[in-house]
Amino acid sequence: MMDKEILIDFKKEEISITKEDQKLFQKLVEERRAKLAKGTIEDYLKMLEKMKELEKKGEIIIHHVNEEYQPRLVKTLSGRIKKIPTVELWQHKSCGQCGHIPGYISALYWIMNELNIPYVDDTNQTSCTAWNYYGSGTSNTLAITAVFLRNMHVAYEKNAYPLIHCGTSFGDYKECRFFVVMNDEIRNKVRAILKKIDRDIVIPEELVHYSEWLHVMRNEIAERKKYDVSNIKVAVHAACHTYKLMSEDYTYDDNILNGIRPAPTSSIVLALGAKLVDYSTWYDCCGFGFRHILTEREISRSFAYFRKIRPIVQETQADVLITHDTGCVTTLDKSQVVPLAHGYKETIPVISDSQFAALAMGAHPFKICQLHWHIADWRNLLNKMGIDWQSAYDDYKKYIEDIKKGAKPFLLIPPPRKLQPRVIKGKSIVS
Amino acid sequence: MTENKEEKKERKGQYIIEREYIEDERIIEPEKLDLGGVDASGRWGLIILPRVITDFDHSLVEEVKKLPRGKHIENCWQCGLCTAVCPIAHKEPRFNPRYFIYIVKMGYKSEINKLKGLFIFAKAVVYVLKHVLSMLTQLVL
Amino acid sequence: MLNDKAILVIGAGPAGLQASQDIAEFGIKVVLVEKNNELGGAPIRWKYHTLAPDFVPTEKVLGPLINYAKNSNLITVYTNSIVESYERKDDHFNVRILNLKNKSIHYEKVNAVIVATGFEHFNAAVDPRYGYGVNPNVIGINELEIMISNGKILRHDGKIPKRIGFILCVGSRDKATNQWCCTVCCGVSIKQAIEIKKLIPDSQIYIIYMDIRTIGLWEKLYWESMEEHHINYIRGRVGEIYWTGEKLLVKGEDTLVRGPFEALFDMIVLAVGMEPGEGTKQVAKVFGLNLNQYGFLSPRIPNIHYDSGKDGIFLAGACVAPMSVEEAISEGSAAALQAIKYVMQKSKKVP
Repeated sequence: MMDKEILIDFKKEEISITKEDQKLFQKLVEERRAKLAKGTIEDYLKMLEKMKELEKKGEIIIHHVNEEYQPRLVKTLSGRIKKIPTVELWQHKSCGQCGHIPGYISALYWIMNELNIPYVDDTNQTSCTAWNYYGSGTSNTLAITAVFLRNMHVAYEKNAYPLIHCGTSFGDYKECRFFVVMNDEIRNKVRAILKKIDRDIVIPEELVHYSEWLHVMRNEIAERKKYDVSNIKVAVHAACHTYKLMSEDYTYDDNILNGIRPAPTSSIVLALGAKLVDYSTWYDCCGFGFRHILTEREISRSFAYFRKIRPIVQETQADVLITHDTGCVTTLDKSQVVPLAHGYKETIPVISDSQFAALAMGAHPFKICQLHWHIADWRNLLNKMGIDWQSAYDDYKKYIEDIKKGAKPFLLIPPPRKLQPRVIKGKSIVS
Repeated sequence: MTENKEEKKERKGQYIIEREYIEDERIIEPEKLDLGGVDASGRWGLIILPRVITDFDHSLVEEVKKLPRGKHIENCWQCGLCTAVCPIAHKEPRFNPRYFIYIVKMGYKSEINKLKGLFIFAKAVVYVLKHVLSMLTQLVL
Repeated sequence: MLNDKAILVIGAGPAGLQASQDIAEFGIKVVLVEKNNELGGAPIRWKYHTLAPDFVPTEKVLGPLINYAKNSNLITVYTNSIVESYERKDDHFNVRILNLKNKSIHYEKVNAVIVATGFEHFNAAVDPRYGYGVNPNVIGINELEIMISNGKILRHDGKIPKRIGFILCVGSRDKATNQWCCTVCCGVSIKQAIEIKKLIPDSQIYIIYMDIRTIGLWEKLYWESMEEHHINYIRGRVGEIYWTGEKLLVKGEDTLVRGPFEALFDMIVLAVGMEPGEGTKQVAKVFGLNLNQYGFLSPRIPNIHYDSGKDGIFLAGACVAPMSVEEAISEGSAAALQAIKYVMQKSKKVP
């Protein structure tokens, strides 16, 4: 620490920093460093203990996974038992999915309709805003945490358990929950923010990703499959934010891949009977990197193609690449077009596990799975599965023409709910 | 015409935030690229090649060993003393004798190819023969 | 005066055997208890072919020690046995020895104890980076030593490997697994690399290292490996090994080039380090010996290995800290002398 003012010569512009500003800057750097060091398995288990303590003291409400949600049990990396609710879910949608890959969630809703699972498709949900910001490092922790808790509060009021569709949201929420529970200052400040919109702190007992729901329901889905997929070679890509970020909180199963790799997407591929193949860059990121795809899109695009698509096609000749995150599907799918124009030959269709399961169960490839939004060529895949995509496409065209003439579009209506929304005294449920 | 020449002088891929970490040869910025009717030339069609070393090619070091006193390349265990005393290395950061010996011994073809065309070799050899050898012999004796 | 005295030596490795021979030559009886079926410790169990740095055949060093122990009248050898419990009396210990195979029990009366229980090799399956136990053709230096003794280095499919990689510091110098340095792995790996090169002259051998720690006079192995046997050294670490179905794809960073490498190898040898074994832990429990934070036996003063801090109990060899065979032999002698001094002083009943 220098006593005098220091002058920095940034391209001939002189910026002077006073001693007080230096101290503040140093303090911010130390704070961020301390926050980034959290999140190992021991710390995570400590957080769960502290959550129970805070509930006992009455400081927070925990949204428990009760019997009415009919939970099923899975194991996490440390052997802890995690409860996955299966019915009465509050669909926490993903902005990227709704905007770029609508087939992703409509496939999931269709599967839930087929299995007669009641859910709440709420219009009163805000985006988690994690695509541009990120809980621990680069931006306003309070704003992100407040958005997280607001969504959880809405789910609690509707008496439905939040099911998080996006891996990005999932990772962001795991971090935010950690901060809110462990750090008193953040909790008090966020509570003040929530009070302004007549809400209070409700923390879910488990943060559940939709791929974990597919994992626990895989046998029911496999029973209803219509097409034989045993000749399909499937490569699986697991998103960084589900299993690398806060690695304690994701599903591992000793029977699937020996418990070494996370179970969810691989398990449903195996349950449907397809061939699961392995490739040398399994653990590599897809290149999406939250906002990296917006600010460093050249590197994202090249990385996705040369580190993931090319090795997968060259080593395995797989028919399809399946992932479970918005960003991964977007990046891996849309990054293929530029290298193909440069002259490289390797290409592979990229779809989500929900779309694949829905296709195997007989969903319409265009009305439900919305495959026309995907860039990489999926026609070979559908031919191999035995789905007549040409007539489905003509059917879809006719459907669009009918809507233009004024017909009603086909909507996915959830099955009727058994649980009632919670009684709200005044506006806030916390007295 | 002069406008085009000035544009070309700007480094390719200058808009990439981490541009300094990427070697020029790895950036492919197409002048014309067509994505089925959509124009993707320039920035929209830029790709960056990976830099992973994938193989060892020992044919080069076998050639070096056939030169007079070339067998001594096997004595090098990368202590770095040569670069530490090298006056050229202190002036030109890309001239690193330890590094040159290493990539030749290991046969990293991709790294050797990056050095082709560096004319500092010629200048350096002359400098070494004139000054350094005489200095070193004086130090040792 | 010393005819009725006896000293218990637990562990028949280099340290224990040297201690037994010294004590027996002095004229005091020895009770030698060994957990395994054979005498000789790790060099015999893992069939070490030669010892670094001069490629001395193992039999030349350990053979005489083992023969002496077997043939001496003063040394009672219990193999397949452990010391189950002991009872301290005024001037002696009563120890209870259990034979693990036939479950028979023997009692012995001894006046001092030397603990020389040695080490175990790190089980590389604990470290998932290398896929040991999952990927074929990933072996440890202990398994390689057996192959060298048999004179045949073969892959799992019976073919002779062309490109072999050694990865140093597996299970050592690592905060995630073991934090200490095993001192001899670098020298042993280089010795093995030279022996492989002699067996398979057209092979390409790469040693992927973090540091090269060829101790003391072993340094010549390092220079000889490069100058005469053309072994290549890559300074860096390996992050993952992937089995492609035919070869092993090794992913790491070469720090001298500041770049990542992903190269195919036929066989990978992991330099698995030394760690305290089950035998050491069991004896520590029985005799109430202190273990340091690494699990090795902790002497009273760290730089004086033979002094355990407990009256009449002495320590020797790799159960105290990782060391080479020559160091273990010296420690065996040192502990033997201390035990003999202790027994003689006690028998004089000095007030």
